Amino acid sequence: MANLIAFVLRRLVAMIVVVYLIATIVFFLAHASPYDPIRLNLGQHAANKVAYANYAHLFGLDKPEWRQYTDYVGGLLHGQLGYSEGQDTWGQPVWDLLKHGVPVSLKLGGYALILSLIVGLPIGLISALKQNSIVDHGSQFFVMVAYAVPVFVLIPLAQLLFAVRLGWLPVTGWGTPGLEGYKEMILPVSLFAAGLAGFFAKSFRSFMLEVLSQDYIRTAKAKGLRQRLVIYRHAFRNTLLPLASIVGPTVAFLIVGAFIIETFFSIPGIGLTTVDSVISSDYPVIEATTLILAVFVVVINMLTDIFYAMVDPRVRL
Amino acid sequence: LNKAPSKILSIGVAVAFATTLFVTANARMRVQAHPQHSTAALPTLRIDYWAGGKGKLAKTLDPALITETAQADTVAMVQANLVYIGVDDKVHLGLAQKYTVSKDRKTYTFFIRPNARYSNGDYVTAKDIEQSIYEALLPSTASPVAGSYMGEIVGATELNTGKATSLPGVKVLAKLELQVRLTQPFAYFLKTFTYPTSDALDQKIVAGKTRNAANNFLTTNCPGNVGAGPFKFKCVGNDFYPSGQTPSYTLVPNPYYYGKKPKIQVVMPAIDTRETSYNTYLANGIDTTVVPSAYISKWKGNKQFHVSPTSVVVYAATNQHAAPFDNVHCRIAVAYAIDRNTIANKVLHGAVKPIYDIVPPGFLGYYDGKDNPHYSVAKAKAELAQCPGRSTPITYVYDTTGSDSDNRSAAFVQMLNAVGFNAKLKAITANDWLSIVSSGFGGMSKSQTQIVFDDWQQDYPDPQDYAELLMDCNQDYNIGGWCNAKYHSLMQKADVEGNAKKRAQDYIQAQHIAISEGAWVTEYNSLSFYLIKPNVHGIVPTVAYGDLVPVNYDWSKVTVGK
Repeated sequence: MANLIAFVLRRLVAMIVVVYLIATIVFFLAHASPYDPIRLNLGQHAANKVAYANYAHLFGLDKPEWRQYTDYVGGLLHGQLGYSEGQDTWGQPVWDLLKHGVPVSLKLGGYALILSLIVGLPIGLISALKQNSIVDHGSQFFVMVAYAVPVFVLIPLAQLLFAVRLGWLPVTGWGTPGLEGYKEMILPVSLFAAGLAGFFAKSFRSFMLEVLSQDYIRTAKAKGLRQRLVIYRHAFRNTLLPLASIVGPTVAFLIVGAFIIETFFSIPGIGLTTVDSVISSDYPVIEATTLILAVFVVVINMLTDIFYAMVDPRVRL
Repeated sequence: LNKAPSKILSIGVAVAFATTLFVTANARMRVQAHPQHSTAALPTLRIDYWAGGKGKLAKTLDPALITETAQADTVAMVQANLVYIGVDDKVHLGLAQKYTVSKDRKTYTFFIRPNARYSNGDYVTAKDIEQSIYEALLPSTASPVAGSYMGEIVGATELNTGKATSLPGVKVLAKLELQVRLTQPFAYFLKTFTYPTSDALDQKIVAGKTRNAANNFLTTNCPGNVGAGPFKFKCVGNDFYPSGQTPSYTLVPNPYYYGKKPKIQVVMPAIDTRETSYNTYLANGIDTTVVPSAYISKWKGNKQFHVSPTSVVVYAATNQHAAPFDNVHCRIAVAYAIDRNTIANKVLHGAVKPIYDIVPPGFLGYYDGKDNPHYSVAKAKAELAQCPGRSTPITYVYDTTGSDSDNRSAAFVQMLNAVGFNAKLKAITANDWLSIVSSGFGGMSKSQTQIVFDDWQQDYPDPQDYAELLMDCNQDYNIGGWCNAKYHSLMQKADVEGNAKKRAQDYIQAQHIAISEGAWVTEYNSLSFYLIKPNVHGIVPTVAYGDLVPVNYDWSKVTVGK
């Protein structure tokens, strides 16, 4: 346990350094953008010199870059993320945008991840056990389709079929109370999960085939162990390590990875906010979302390492 | 880690991880347990003002900061002004029951309705409006538009630029009497005064609150939007909608509205794209939608289909300070080379109408432009022959927003090359395009742009908003940098001309000068296409508003049947 605490503390200290470095790099990269957020926000009204100057002053964009940087870092130390400079969210506190959006993206991503694991792992397992059979080929075909067809192609088709033609599900929306809310979740969660499930199924099949060819599996079978025990006690457990190595990073990127889904289904997550912030040179939101992602990646990596140690006694923290 | 604690640790960390994921994932579910508004009492109109806005609602609800149509039209439902633009694009009395104009037409006195009240029951006073105008003009508010729309008021420019701290041109004469003095008898003043920048705000609510764009009080605080318009927002705590849900505004009737009260509630969801809005309409998720151009022909003739002219004019701006368009013959050659009917009817499938003047149809000063260059290959070639830089390669720049803009621009360049120009096409992003067209007077030179696509939509329904702001000398929006003494004097004269007929003639004469010199290459006036459910009555598309609004702007006449 002492090892674990020391490990977590080391990682937390490293996280502070990583976050600071990322904040600095992202700040200067964002400000190197040729786009002028004031001009983008004011549109043709940016031609009004007084309006332009007033806006620049209000948001501190008339200050030298080094001064903007010290203001930004100072704000971070005080827990202030600043105000959005995006075309559609100009002036709104960044924290307000994120505090509503992050839980929504987590919910969408969390459900999609769970669904994709529930669907993807059994498919991968069955494919591996029935290698080169018609079941394997059939399931691999569907896995490839789910993995390869872009989600922006699947979404309009699904909306037209299930919402417009059949009228079973709403075209867009998220979070409506009651049954309608669950109906709203079906299409986005399923479509988001489809690609992930394909990825997990394909990966898990490979991992399982690799493990099944190991000597200790042959030994277990030779000892007369039942197939089920061989699979679950020896094979499955040894696929957890490589599986964790792909699920961990996937979890980290779920938070911003759903922007296409969020766009098409009017889901108020931060995936779309993140992409919009890049398009419209929204420096404060770019910086804040990158920091969140960085923290999330560090934390997930830490949890993954702990998980490694749990499932593999050879790994030391 | 030895084996026994490892198992316990394994289970513990796994449970912690799963719990963290589920707790964060389900956080919204608990927030949603807040009481929801009952929507059963009133019929609901679900309207798509916020379609195509990337899933976002207004970036501002502060009347002083509004620059976009959907913001203005939403705020117009909640806030009110002394005067407003009707769906006939004319000025009507709003909070003012009447107004008087002095003989020199420089002083307006507004008399506020005694029954004008905000949605919290407070009465509207002249002091409220004086303070609202003052704050809109303050440099600290950083309004992008207040200086332009109220610059005619005595002291407004000085206040807006920080050279003064008072606004002598606006004076409270009595509790319900407000005087506004102008620097000159501007003929278009009342029209600019309809803009939300002079909306009445309840000072008991907004006094001391942040009015600038950073963390604006009205934009971030739903209950703060106490207005004197026909509706008020239905709030969820301080928010406009329950956290975690698709963003939307819900508006219910203002019980203290001075006019006839609406009998419906209005729900305006934020829908990311126009295509999604259209599909949502088909699935009965909303009651109105804009029709994407690909589906226009499918709906023509259907009762749900409505067409409206707009105030959008599309034109090509030429750089007057660089070859080849520093020469009048080169510019006119372009004007003759463009077959506007082909662009309107074939390339854009009838979604636009060709025009040959600057101001849009229906405006004072609009005319058919028969004396201006029309499509003629022969005349284009003749003019090009006199163009000194005729062999200069030219690049037509446009912002690519989809197949329509690509096809239109490709046709434009083909037509130029058909008469002998050496033209090519350059598609740029909307961001890059904005940096060209919002760089002030003669801004095309800074980016070395020769000819660029541009468009303009009314801020207020007056030819001054087009002819003067876009083409007169030294105007910020005159990106080509054309300047003509005769044109300038006509603009100055029209600004203060009290006789509407004479004023219209001034604008017509001026437009002919600009277009016949090729300073402005006319293209077309856009149309709007809407679908409205058959059970919805009383709303219409108009030139005045970019959205569907009630007939005579009377929300009490809007009904939603079963």
